[in-house]
Amino acid sequence: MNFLSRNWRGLLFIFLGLFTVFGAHYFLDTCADAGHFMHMGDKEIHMGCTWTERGVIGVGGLVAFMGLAMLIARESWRGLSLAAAGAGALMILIPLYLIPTCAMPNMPCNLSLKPGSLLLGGLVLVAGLISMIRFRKLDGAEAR
Amino acid sequence: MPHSKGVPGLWRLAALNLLRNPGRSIAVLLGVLLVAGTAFAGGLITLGVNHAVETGLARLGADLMVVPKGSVDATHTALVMGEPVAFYMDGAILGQVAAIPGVRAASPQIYVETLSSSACCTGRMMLVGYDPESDFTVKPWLRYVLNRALDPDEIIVGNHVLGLTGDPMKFYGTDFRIAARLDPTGMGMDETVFLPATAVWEMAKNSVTLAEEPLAIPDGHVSAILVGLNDPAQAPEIARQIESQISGVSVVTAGQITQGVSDDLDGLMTYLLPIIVGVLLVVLVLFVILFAAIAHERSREIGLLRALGATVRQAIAALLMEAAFMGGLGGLAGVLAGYAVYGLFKTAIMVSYTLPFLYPNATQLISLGVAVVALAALGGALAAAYPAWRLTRLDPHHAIHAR
Repeated sequence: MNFLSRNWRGLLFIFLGLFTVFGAHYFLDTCADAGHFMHMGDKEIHMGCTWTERGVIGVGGLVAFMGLAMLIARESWRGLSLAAAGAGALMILIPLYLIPTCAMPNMPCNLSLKPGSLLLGGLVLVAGLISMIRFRKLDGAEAR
Repeated sequence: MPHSKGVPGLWRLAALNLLRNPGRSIAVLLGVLLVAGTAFAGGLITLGVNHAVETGLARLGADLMVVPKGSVDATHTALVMGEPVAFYMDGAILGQVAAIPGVRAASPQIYVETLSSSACCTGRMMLVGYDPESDFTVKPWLRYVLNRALDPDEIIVGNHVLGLTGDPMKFYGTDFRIAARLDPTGMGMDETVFLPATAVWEMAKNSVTLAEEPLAIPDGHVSAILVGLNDPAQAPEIARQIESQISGVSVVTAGQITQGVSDDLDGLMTYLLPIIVGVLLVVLVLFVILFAAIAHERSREIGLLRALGATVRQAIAALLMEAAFMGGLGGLAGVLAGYAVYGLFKTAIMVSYTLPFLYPNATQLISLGVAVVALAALGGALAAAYPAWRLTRLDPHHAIHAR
Protein backbone atom coordinates (compact mmCIF):
# COMPACT_ATOMS: atom_id res chain seq x y z
CA MET A 1 0.00 0.00 0.00
CA ASN A 2 1.59 3.28 -1.08
CA PHE A 3 1.89 6.60 0.78
CA LEU A 4 -1.09 8.21 -1.00
CA SER A 5 -3.42 5.28 -0.27
CA ARG A 6 -2.43 5.19 3.38
CA ASN A 7 -2.67 8.93 3.98
CA TRP A 8 -5.37 10.15 1.59
CA ARG A 9 -7.53 11.53 4.39
CA GLY A 10 -4.79 13.63 5.96
CA LEU A 11 -3.56 14.90 2.60
CA LEU A 12 -7.12 15.74 1.48
CA PHE A 13 -7.80 17.88 4.56
CA ILE A 14 -4.39 19.57 4.45
CA PHE A 15 -5.15 20.49 0.81
CA LEU A 16 -8.71 21.69 1.57
CA GLY A 17 -7.55 23.66 4.61
CA LEU A 18 -4.68 25.41 2.82
CA PHE A 19 -6.91 26.01 -0.21
CA THR A 20 -9.38 27.76 2.11
CA VAL A 21 -6.68 29.84 3.81
CA PHE A 22 -5.01 31.03 0.59
CA GLY A 23 -8.28 31.21 -1.39
CA ALA A 24 -9.97 33.40 1.22
CA HIS A 25 -6.90 35.61 1.61
CA TYR A 26 -5.90 36.08 -2.03
CA PHE A 27 -8.93 35.34 -4.22
CA LEU A 28 -12.15 35.97 -2.27
CA ASP A 29 -12.83 39.71 -2.00
CA THR A 30 -14.07 41.60 1.03
CA CYS A 31 -15.49 45.13 0.72
CA ALA A 32 -12.18 46.52 2.00
CA ASP A 33 -10.34 44.68 -0.83
CA ALA A 34 -12.60 46.56 -3.25
CA GLY A 35 -11.94 49.90 -1.51
CA HIS A 36 -15.22 50.19 0.43
CA PHE A 37 -14.97 51.44 4.01
CA MET A 38 -17.32 52.99 6.56
CA HIS A 39 -16.60 56.62 7.29
CA MET A 40 -16.60 58.04 10.79
CA GLY A 41 -15.41 61.60 10.46
CA ASP A 42 -12.03 61.36 8.76
CA LYS A 43 -11.53 57.74 9.79
CA GLU A 44 -12.02 54.78 7.47
CA ILE A 45 -13.37 51.76 9.34
CA HIS A 46 -13.42 48.18 7.99
CA MET A 47 -16.86 46.71 7.35
CA GLY A 48 -17.98 43.50 9.09
CA CYS A 49 -16.92 41.27 6.19
CA THR A 50 -13.23 41.79 7.03
CA TRP A 51 -13.84 39.81 10.23
CA THR A 52 -15.86 37.21 8.30
CA GLU A 53 -12.79 36.60 6.13
CA ARG A 54 -10.53 36.23 9.17
CA GLY A 55 -12.99 33.75 10.72
CA VAL A 56 -13.04 31.63 7.55
CA ILE A 57 -9.23 31.74 7.29
CA GLY A 58 -8.98 30.59 10.92
CA VAL A 59 -11.29 27.63 10.35
CA GLY A 60 -9.38 26.77 7.14
CA GLY A 61 -6.17 26.65 9.17
CA LEU A 62 -7.87 24.37 11.69
CA VAL A 63 -8.94 21.98 8.87
CA ALA A 64 -5.34 21.85 7.60
CA PHE A 65 -4.17 21.12 11.16
CA MET A 66 -6.72 18.27 11.45
CA GLY A 67 -5.27 16.85 8.22
CA LEU A 68 -1.82 16.98 9.76
CA ALA A 69 -3.16 15.25 12.89
CA MET A 70 -4.59 12.48 10.66
CA LEU A 71 -1.10 11.87 9.26
CA ILE A 72 0.44 11.68 12.73
CA ALA A 73 -2.32 9.81 14.60
CA ARG A 74 -3.86 7.66 11.88
CA GLU A 75 -5.89 5.59 14.36
CA SER A 76 -8.00 8.71 15.12
CA TRP A 77 -9.16 9.10 11.50
CA ARG A 78 -12.86 8.69 12.17
CA GLY A 79 -13.07 11.23 15.01
CA LEU A 80 -10.93 13.75 13.14
CA SER A 81 -13.07 13.30 10.01
CA LEU A 82 -16.18 14.08 12.03
CA ALA A 83 -14.46 17.15 13.50
CA ALA A 84 -13.47 18.28 9.97
CA ALA A 85 -17.11 17.93 8.87
CA GLY A 86 -18.04 20.15 11.84
CA ALA A 87 -15.42 22.69 10.74
CA GLY A 88 -17.01 22.66 7.27
CA ALA A 89 -20.41 23.41 8.84
CA LEU A 90 -18.76 26.24 10.80
CA MET A 91 -17.33 27.66 7.56
CA ILE A 92 -20.91 27.79 6.22
CA LEU A 93 -22.35 29.32 9.39
CA ILE A 94 -19.73 32.08 9.70
CA PRO A 95 -20.77 34.23 6.69
CA LEU A 96 -24.47 33.42 7.20
CA TYR A 97 -25.02 33.92 10.94
CA LEU A 98 -21.93 34.03 13.16
CA ILE A 99 -19.99 36.89 11.54
CA PRO A 100 -22.37 37.91 8.72
CA THR A 101 -21.14 39.70 5.61
CA CYS A 102 -22.50 43.13 4.63
CA ALA A 103 -26.24 43.66 4.29
CA MET A 104 -26.61 44.75 0.62
CA PRO A 105 -26.62 41.75 -1.74
CA ASN A 106 -24.47 43.52 -4.37
CA MET A 107 -21.59 44.44 -2.03
CA PRO A 108 -18.24 42.87 -3.10
CA CYS A 109 -18.15 40.51 -0.09
CA ASN A 110 -21.55 39.06 -1.01
CA LEU A 111 -20.44 38.48 -4.59
CA SER A 112 -17.15 36.80 -3.70
CA LEU A 113 -16.30 35.96 -0.07
CA LYS A 114 -19.74 34.70 0.96
CA PRO A 115 -20.43 32.29 -1.96
CA GLY A 116 -16.79 31.17 -1.93
CA SER A 117 -16.91 30.39 1.80
CA LEU A 118 -20.20 28.52 1.43
CA LEU A 119 -18.77 26.43 -1.42
CA LEU A 120 -15.52 25.66 0.45
CA GLY A 121 -17.48 24.91 3.64
CA GLY A 122 -19.77 22.56 1.69
CA LEU A 123 -16.76 20.75 0.20
CA VAL A 124 -15.09 20.34 3.61
CA LEU A 125 -18.39 19.15 5.16
CA VAL A 126 -18.99 16.55 2.42
CA ALA A 127 -15.31 15.48 2.46
CA GLY A 128 -15.50 15.05 6.26
CA LEU A 129 -18.61 12.89 6.03
CA ILE A 130 -17.20 10.75 3.19
CA SER A 131 -13.91 10.42 5.05
CA MET A 132 -15.76 8.79 7.97
CA ILE A 133 -16.56 5.81 5.74
CA ARG A 134 -14.05 2.95 5.66
CA PHE A 135 -13.11 2.03 2.10
CA ARG A 136 -11.96 -1.58 1.86
CA LYS A 137 -9.65 -1.12 -1.13
CA LEU A 138 -8.10 2.16 0.03
CA ASP A 139 -7.91 1.56 3.77
CA GLY A 140 -7.20 -2.18 3.77
CA ALA A 141 -7.23 -3.88 7.13
CA GLU A 142 -5.48 -0.99 8.90
CA ALA A 143 -8.41 1.36 9.34
CA ARG A 144 -11.11 0.07 11.66
CA MET B 1 -36.83 -15.02 -18.29
CA PRO B 2 -40.14 -13.06 -18.32
CA HIS B 3 -39.66 -9.51 -19.58
CA SER B 4 -41.40 -7.81 -16.62
CA LYS B 5 -38.96 -9.37 -14.15
CA GLY B 6 -35.97 -9.19 -16.48
CA VAL B 7 -35.76 -5.40 -16.77
CA PRO B 8 -35.55 -4.59 -13.02
CA GLY B 9 -33.05 -7.47 -12.75
CA LEU B 10 -30.91 -5.92 -15.47
CA TRP B 11 -31.08 -2.50 -13.73
CA ARG B 12 -29.89 -4.13 -10.51
CA LEU B 13 -27.10 -5.86 -12.40
CA ALA B 14 -26.14 -2.51 -13.97
CA ALA B 15 -26.00 -0.80 -10.55
CA LEU B 16 -23.95 -3.64 -9.01
CA ASN B 17 -21.53 -3.63 -11.95
CA LEU B 18 -20.78 0.06 -11.36
CA LEU B 19 -19.75 -0.75 -7.79
CA ARG B 20 -17.22 -3.36 -8.98
CA ASN B 21 -14.65 -0.68 -9.71
CA PRO B 22 -15.77 2.40 -7.74
CA GLY B 23 -12.68 4.47 -8.61
CA ARG B 24 -13.25 4.11 -12.35
CA SER B 25 -16.99 4.74 -12.00
CA ILE B 26 -16.41 7.87 -9.87
CA ALA B 27 -13.96 9.32 -12.44
CA VAL B 28 -16.52 8.95 -15.24
CA LEU B 29 -19.35 10.20 -13.01
CA LEU B 30 -17.35 13.34 -12.17
CA GLY B 31 -16.84 14.02 -15.89
CA VAL B 32 -20.57 13.66 -16.61
CA LEU B 33 -21.32 15.80 -13.55
CA LEU B 34 -19.11 18.59 -14.91
CA VAL B 35 -20.71 18.56 -18.38
CA ALA B 36 -24.28 18.27 -17.06
CA GLY B 37 -23.70 20.92 -14.38
CA THR B 38 -22.26 23.44 -16.85
CA ALA B 39 -24.99 22.72 -19.41
CA PHE B 40 -27.72 23.08 -16.78
CA ALA B 41 -26.24 26.35 -15.48
CA GLY B 42 -25.97 27.67 -19.07
CA GLY B 43 -29.62 26.77 -19.77
CA LEU B 44 -30.73 28.27 -16.46
CA ILE B 45 -28.90 31.54 -17.20
CA THR B 46 -30.49 31.80 -20.67
CA LEU B 47 -34.00 31.13 -19.34
CA GLY B 48 -33.55 33.46 -16.36
CA VAL B 49 -32.11 36.35 -18.38
CA ASN B 50 -34.97 36.18 -20.93
CA HIS B 51 -37.55 36.01 -18.12
CA ALA B 52 -35.98 39.05 -16.40
CA VAL B 53 -35.89 41.12 -19.60
CA GLU B 54 -39.56 40.35 -20.34
CA THR B 55 -40.65 41.17 -16.77
CA GLY B 56 -38.43 44.27 -16.51
CA LEU B 57 -39.48 45.81 -19.81
CA ALA B 58 -43.14 45.19 -19.00
CA ARG B 59 -42.59 46.96 -15.66
CA LEU B 60 -40.69 49.87 -17.26
CA GLY B 61 -43.87 50.66 -19.18
CA ALA B 62 -42.23 53.07 -21.66
CA ASP B 63 -41.46 52.53 -25.34
CA LEU B 64 -38.54 54.99 -25.47
CA MET B 65 -36.20 56.79 -23.09
CA VAL B 66 -34.68 60.13 -24.07
CA VAL B 67 -31.37 60.72 -22.26
CA PRO B 68 -28.46 63.17 -22.65
CA LYS B 69 -26.10 62.34 -25.52
CA GLY B 70 -23.31 60.03 -24.33
CA SER B 71 -25.42 58.52 -21.51
CA VAL B 72 -26.77 55.48 -23.35
CA ASP B 73 -24.33 52.96 -21.83
CA ALA B 74 -24.83 54.33 -18.31
CA THR B 75 -28.63 54.16 -18.81
CA HIS B 76 -28.35 50.55 -19.97
CA THR B 77 -26.29 49.63 -16.89
CA ALA B 78 -28.70 51.49 -14.59
CA LEU B 79 -31.77 49.81 -16.11
CA VAL B 80 -30.27 46.34 -16.18
CA MET B 81 -28.18 46.28 -12.98
CA GLY B 82 -29.38 49.27 -10.91
CA GLU B 83 -25.86 50.76 -10.98
CA PRO B 84 -26.40 54.35 -9.73
CA VAL B 85 -26.05 57.07 -12.37
CA ALA B 86 -26.54 60.84 -12.39
CA PHE B 87 -26.70 62.89 -15.59
CA TYR B 88 -28.84 65.87 -16.45
CA MET B 89 -30.26 67.73 -19.46
CA ASP B 90 -32.48 70.77 -19.94
CA GLY B 91 -36.07 70.07 -18.82
CA ALA B 92 -37.45 72.18 -21.71
CA ILE B 93 -36.78 69.18 -23.98
CA LEU B 94 -39.93 67.59 -22.48
CA GLY B 95 -42.21 69.92 -24.47
CA GLN B 96 -40.32 69.23 -27.70
CA VAL B 97 -40.55 65.47 -27.22
CA ALA B 98 -44.28 65.60 -26.34
CA ALA B 99 -44.96 67.60 -29.55
CA ILE B 100 -43.59 64.92 -31.87
CA PRO B 101 -46.39 63.13 -33.75
CA GLY B 102 -47.03 59.59 -32.49
CA VAL B 103 -46.02 60.38 -28.89
CA ARG B 104 -48.88 59.46 -26.53
CA ALA B 105 -47.24 60.46 -23.23
CA ALA B 106 -43.92 61.89 -22.02
CA SER B 107 -42.77 62.18 -18.43
CA PRO B 108 -39.46 63.36 -16.92
CA GLN B 109 -37.41 61.51 -14.29
CA ILE B 110 -34.48 62.74 -12.16
CA TYR B 111 -31.71 60.30 -11.21
CA VAL B 112 -29.71 60.75 -8.03
CA GLU B 113 -26.76 58.69 -6.83
CA THR B 114 -26.76 58.38 -3.03
CA LEU B 115 -23.67 58.88 -0.89
CA SER B 116 -21.97 55.84 0.65
CA SER B 117 -23.80 55.06 3.85
CA SER B 118 -22.03 55.73 7.12
CA ALA B 119 -23.96 52.81 8.60
CA CYS B 120 -22.65 49.32 7.86
CA CYS B 121 -23.00 48.23 5.08
CA THR B 122 -25.47 49.46 2.51
CA GLY B 123 -23.29 50.99 -0.24
CA ARG B 124 -24.65 53.38 -2.87
CA MET B 125 -28.15 53.35 -4.32
CA MET B 126 -30.00 54.96 -7.19
CA LEU B 127 -32.92 57.28 -6.44
CA VAL B 128 -35.43 57.99 -9.20
CA GLY B 129 -37.62 61.09 -8.87
CA TYR B 130 -40.80 60.96 -10.99
CA ASP B 131 -43.29 63.69 -11.88
CA PRO B 132 -46.68 62.67 -10.37
CA GLU B 133 -48.57 64.92 -12.86
CA SER B 134 -47.33 63.37 -16.10
CA ASP B 135 -46.02 60.01 -14.89
CA PHE B 136 -47.35 56.87 -16.58
CA THR B 137 -44.71 54.32 -15.54
CA VAL B 138 -44.47 54.46 -11.69
CA LYS B 139 -48.11 55.28 -10.87
CA PRO B 140 -49.50 51.96 -12.22
CA TRP B 141 -47.26 50.06 -9.73
CA LEU B 142 -48.25 52.49 -6.96
CA ARG B 143 -51.90 51.67 -7.59
CA TYR B 144 -50.97 47.98 -7.46
CA VAL B 145 -48.80 47.99 -4.30
CA LEU B 146 -50.17 51.02 -2.37
CA ASN B 147 -53.41 52.19 -3.99
CA ARG B 148 -52.70 55.84 -3.09
CA ALA B 149 -50.21 58.62 -3.87
CA LEU B 150 -46.96 58.90 -1.88
CA ASP B 151 -46.72 61.39 1.00
CA PRO B 152 -43.82 63.90 0.75
CA ASP B 153 -41.63 61.84 3.11
CA GLU B 154 -42.49 58.44 1.61
CA ILE B 155 -40.56 56.30 -0.85
CA ILE B 156 -41.29 53.11 -2.75
CA VAL B 157 -38.39 50.64 -2.96
CA GLY B 158 -37.25 47.93 -5.36
CA ASN B 159 -37.40 44.33 -4.20
CA HIS B 160 -33.71 44.05 -3.19
CA VAL B 161 -33.51 47.28 -1.19
CA LEU B 162 -33.16 46.50 2.52
CA GLY B 163 -35.76 47.50 5.11
CA LEU B 164 -39.41 46.80 5.96
CA THR B 165 -42.47 48.91 5.22
CA GLY B 166 -42.45 51.90 7.61
CA ASP B 167 -38.67 51.69 8.18
CA PRO B 168 -36.77 55.00 7.98
CA MET B 169 -34.13 55.71 5.30
CA LYS B 170 -31.91 58.76 5.18
CA PHE B 171 -30.65 60.31 1.94
CA TYR B 172 -28.54 63.50 1.88
CA GLY B 173 -29.61 64.19 5.46
CA THR B 174 -33.37 63.99 4.72
CA ASP B 175 -35.46 61.28 6.43
CA PHE B 176 -37.89 59.15 4.44
CA ARG B 177 -40.13 56.16 5.25
CA ILE B 178 -40.59 53.05 3.12
CA ALA B 179 -44.23 53.03 1.95
CA ALA B 180 -44.15 49.87 -0.17
CA ARG B 181 -41.93 47.34 -1.88
CA LEU B 182 -42.17 46.26 -5.52
CA ASP B 183 -42.25 42.68 -6.82
CA PRO B 184 -38.92 41.37 -8.15
CA THR B 185 -38.06 41.99 -11.81
CA GLY B 186 -34.47 40.75 -11.92
CA MET B 187 -33.49 44.10 -13.46
CA GLY B 188 -32.04 47.31 -12.02
CA MET B 189 -35.42 48.44 -10.68
CA ASP B 190 -34.94 45.92 -7.86
CA GLU B 191 -32.08 48.07 -6.51
CA THR B 192 -33.81 51.44 -7.04
CA VAL B 193 -35.70 53.83 -4.73
CA PHE B 194 -38.60 55.81 -6.25
CA LEU B 195 -39.92 59.12 -4.87
CA PRO B 196 -41.78 62.17 -6.25
CA ALA B 197 -39.58 64.75 -8.03
CA THR B 198 -40.73 67.42 -5.55
CA ALA B 199 -39.15 65.38 -2.75
CA VAL B 200 -35.89 65.24 -4.75
CA TRP B 201 -35.81 69.04 -5.13
CA GLU B 202 -36.56 69.48 -1.43
CA MET B 203 -33.83 66.97 -0.52
CA ALA B 204 -31.33 68.83 -2.77
CA LYS B 205 -32.21 72.14 -1.09
CA ASN B 206 -31.84 70.69 2.43
CA SER B 207 -28.63 68.80 1.57
CA VAL B 208 -26.65 72.07 1.70
CA THR B 209 -27.09 72.17 5.49
CA LEU B 210 -27.91 68.52 6.37
CA ALA B 211 -25.66 66.34 4.20
CA GLU B 212 -21.90 65.63 4.30
CA GLU B 213 -21.87 66.54 0.61
CA PRO B 214 -24.55 68.73 -1.04
CA LEU B 215 -26.70 67.28 -3.82
CA ALA B 216 -26.24 69.50 -6.87
CA ILE B 217 -28.91 69.26 -9.58
CA PRO B 218 -28.97 72.16 -12.07
CA ASP B 219 -32.26 74.13 -11.90
CA GLY B 220 -34.96 72.92 -14.28
CA HIS B 221 -32.90 69.95 -15.42
CA VAL B 222 -34.03 66.31 -15.71
CA SER B 223 -32.16 63.04 -16.27
CA ALA B 224 -34.44 61.21 -18.69
CA ILE B 225 -37.78 61.53 -20.43
CA LEU B 226 -39.86 58.37 -20.60
CA VAL B 227 -41.98 58.21 -23.73
CA GLY B 228 -45.13 56.20 -24.45
CA LEU B 229 -46.15 55.81 -28.10
CA ASN B 230 -49.53 55.40 -29.77
CA ASP B 231 -48.05 52.55 -31.79
CA PRO B 232 -45.06 50.82 -30.12
CA ALA B 233 -44.08 49.35 -33.51
CA GLN B 234 -43.08 52.86 -34.58
CA ALA B 235 -40.43 53.10 -31.82
CA PRO B 236 -37.31 52.95 -34.08
CA GLU B 237 -38.75 55.56 -36.48
CA ILE B 238 -39.82 58.00 -33.73
CA ALA B 239 -36.45 57.49 -31.98
CA ARG B 240 -34.71 58.64 -35.19
CA GLN B 241 -37.03 61.66 -35.42
CA ILE B 242 -36.30 62.70 -31.82
CA GLU B 243 -32.54 62.39 -32.33
CA SER B 244 -32.63 64.41 -35.55
CA GLN B 245 -34.98 67.17 -34.28
CA ILE B 246 -33.57 67.69 -30.77
CA SER B 247 -29.87 68.28 -30.35
CA GLY B 248 -27.82 66.83 -27.47
CA VAL B 249 -30.02 63.80 -26.79
CA SER B 250 -29.91 60.05 -27.46
CA VAL B 251 -32.87 57.69 -27.47
CA VAL B 252 -32.89 54.23 -25.90
CA THR B 253 -35.55 51.81 -27.22
CA ALA B 254 -36.82 48.64 -25.54
CA GLY B 255 -35.37 46.73 -28.51
CA GLN B 256 -31.91 48.20 -27.84
CA ILE B 257 -32.07 47.11 -24.21
CA THR B 258 -33.04 43.56 -25.26
CA GLN B 259 -30.27 43.54 -27.88
CA GLY B 260 -27.71 44.84 -25.36
CA VAL B 261 -28.64 42.10 -22.88
CA SER B 262 -28.51 39.53 -25.68
CA ASP B 263 -24.97 40.69 -26.63
CA ASP B 264 -23.83 40.45 -22.99
CA LEU B 265 -25.35 36.95 -22.76
CA ASP B 266 -23.46 35.95 -25.92
CA GLY B 267 -20.29 37.19 -24.21
CA LEU B 268 -20.90 34.82 -21.27
CA MET B 269 -21.84 31.90 -23.53
CA THR B 270 -18.62 32.41 -25.50
CA TYR B 271 -16.82 31.28 -22.33
CA LEU B 272 -19.27 28.54 -21.36
CA LEU B 273 -19.74 26.76 -24.70
CA PRO B 274 -16.08 25.77 -25.31
CA ILE B 275 -15.96 24.40 -21.73
CA ILE B 276 -19.11 22.33 -22.31
CA VAL B 277 -17.96 21.06 -25.74
CA GLY B 278 -14.39 20.33 -24.57
CA VAL B 279 -15.43 18.40 -21.45
CA LEU B 280 -18.20 16.64 -23.40
CA LEU B 281 -15.65 15.29 -25.91
CA VAL B 282 -13.37 14.09 -23.11
CA VAL B 283 -16.30 12.41 -21.33
CA LEU B 284 -17.49 10.72 -24.53
CA VAL B 285 -14.01 9.31 -25.13
CA LEU B 286 -13.88 8.19 -21.46
CA PHE B 287 -17.25 6.45 -21.86
CA VAL B 288 -16.16 4.60 -25.01
CA ILE B 289 -12.87 3.49 -23.39
CA LEU B 290 -14.60 2.53 -20.14
CA PHE B 291 -17.28 0.45 -21.82
CA ALA B 292 -14.81 -1.14 -24.21
CA ALA B 293 -12.86 -2.23 -21.11
CA ILE B 294 -16.04 -3.35 -19.34
CA ALA B 295 -17.14 -5.28 -22.44
CA HIS B 296 -13.77 -7.00 -22.59
CA GLU B 297 -13.87 -7.88 -18.86
CA ARG B 298 -17.41 -9.18 -19.17
CA SER B 299 -17.10 -11.22 -22.34
CA ARG B 300 -17.19 -14.39 -20.25
CA GLU B 301 -20.20 -13.19 -18.22
CA ILE B 302 -22.12 -12.12 -21.34
CA GLY B 303 -21.25 -15.44 -23.01
CA LEU B 304 -22.65 -17.29 -19.97
CA LEU B 305 -25.80 -15.15 -20.05
CA ARG B 306 -26.23 -15.99 -23.74
CA ALA B 307 -25.58 -19.68 -23.09
CA LEU B 308 -28.24 -19.61 -20.34
CA GLY B 309 -30.79 -18.35 -22.83
CA ALA B 310 -30.48 -14.57 -22.75
CA THR B 311 -31.18 -13.05 -26.15
CA VAL B 312 -28.73 -10.76 -28.00
CA ARG B 313 -31.13 -7.89 -27.21
CA GLN B 314 -31.00 -8.64 -23.47
CA ALA B 315 -27.22 -8.88 -23.53
CA ILE B 316 -26.95 -5.50 -25.29
CA ALA B 317 -29.59 -4.04 -22.95
CA ALA B 318 -27.52 -5.04 -19.89
CA LEU B 319 -24.55 -2.96 -21.05
CA LEU B 320 -26.59 -0.06 -22.39
CA MET B 321 -28.60 0.15 -19.17
CA GLU B 322 -25.37 0.29 -17.19
CA ALA B 323 -24.14 3.16 -19.39
CA ALA B 324 -27.50 4.97 -19.25
CA PHE B 325 -27.64 4.47 -15.48
CA MET B 326 -24.17 5.95 -15.08
CA GLY B 327 -24.96 8.84 -17.46
CA GLY B 328 -28.29 9.56 -15.75
CA LEU B 329 -26.76 9.42 -12.28
CA GLY B 330 -23.93 11.77 -13.30
CA GLY B 331 -26.51 14.02 -15.02
CA LEU B 332 -28.68 14.19 -11.91
CA ALA B 333 -25.67 14.99 -9.71
CA GLY B 334 -24.61 17.60 -12.28
CA VAL B 335 -28.02 19.28 -12.28
CA LEU B 336 -28.04 19.47 -8.47
CA ALA B 337 -24.41 20.68 -8.30
CA GLY B 338 -24.94 23.15 -11.18
CA TYR B 339 -28.03 24.58 -9.47
CA ALA B 340 -26.24 24.90 -6.11
CA VAL B 341 -23.00 26.43 -7.44
CA TYR B 342 -24.86 28.75 -9.82
CA GLY B 343 -27.12 29.82 -6.93
CA LEU B 344 -24.02 30.73 -4.88
CA PHE B 345 -22.30 32.75 -7.63
CA LYS B 346 -25.42 34.03 -9.45
CA THR B 347 -25.07 37.65 -8.40
CA ALA B 348 -21.32 37.73 -9.12
CA ILE B 349 -21.86 36.30 -12.64
CA MET B 350 -24.73 38.68 -13.39
CA VAL B 351 -22.82 41.72 -12.15
CA SER B 352 -19.66 40.73 -14.09
CA TYR B 353 -21.56 40.36 -17.37
CA THR B 354 -24.18 43.12 -16.73
CA LEU B 355 -27.01 40.64 -17.04
CA PRO B 356 -30.45 40.77 -15.39
CA PHE B 357 -31.76 37.51 -13.93
CA LEU B 358 -35.07 36.25 -12.57
CA TYR B 359 -35.50 32.53 -11.78
CA PRO B 360 -37.80 30.88 -14.31
CA ASN B 361 -40.94 29.16 -12.99
CA ALA B 362 -40.78 25.66 -11.46
CA THR B 363 -42.15 23.92 -14.57
CA GLN B 364 -39.42 25.38 -16.80
CA LEU B 365 -36.75 24.64 -14.20
CA ILE B 366 -37.83 20.99 -13.76
CA SER B 367 -38.17 20.52 -17.55
CA LEU B 368 -34.61 21.82 -18.02
CA GLY B 369 -33.29 19.47 -15.31
CA VAL B 370 -35.14 16.45 -16.75
CA ALA B 371 -33.87 17.27 -20.26
CA VAL B 372 -30.24 17.45 -19.05
CA VAL B 373 -30.54 14.14 -17.12
CA ALA B 374 -32.23 12.44 -20.12
CA LEU B 375 -29.54 13.72 -22.51
CA ALA B 376 -26.78 12.53 -20.16
CA ALA B 377 -28.37 9.06 -19.95
CA LEU B 378 -28.87 8.94 -23.73
CA GLY B 379 -25.31 10.14 -24.36
CA GLY B 380 -23.95 7.42 -22.06
CA ALA B 381 -25.98 4.71 -23.81
CA LEU B 382 -24.90 5.93 -27.26
CA ALA B 383 -21.22 5.98 -26.25
CA ALA B 384 -21.51 2.38 -25.02
CA ALA B 385 -23.47 1.18 -28.06
CA TYR B 386 -20.49 0.23 -30.22
CA PRO B 387 -18.58 -1.84 -27.60
CA ALA B 388 -21.87 -3.54 -26.66
CA TRP B 389 -22.66 -4.34 -30.28
CA ARG B 390 -19.19 -5.83 -30.86
CA LEU B 391 -19.51 -8.01 -27.77
CA THR B 392 -22.84 -9.49 -28.82
CA ARG B 393 -21.43 -10.53 -32.18
CA LEU B 394 -19.21 -13.03 -30.36
CA ASP B 395 -20.35 -16.61 -30.30
CA PRO B 396 -21.28 -17.60 -26.66
CA HIS B 397 -18.77 -20.47 -26.72
CA HIS B 398 -15.93 -18.17 -27.86
CA ALA B 399 -16.99 -15.46 -25.41
CA ILE B 400 -16.81 -17.89 -22.45
CA HIS B 401 -13.38 -19.14 -23.47
CA ALA B 402 -12.06 -15.80 -24.72
CA ARG B 403 -9.90 -15.07 -21.62
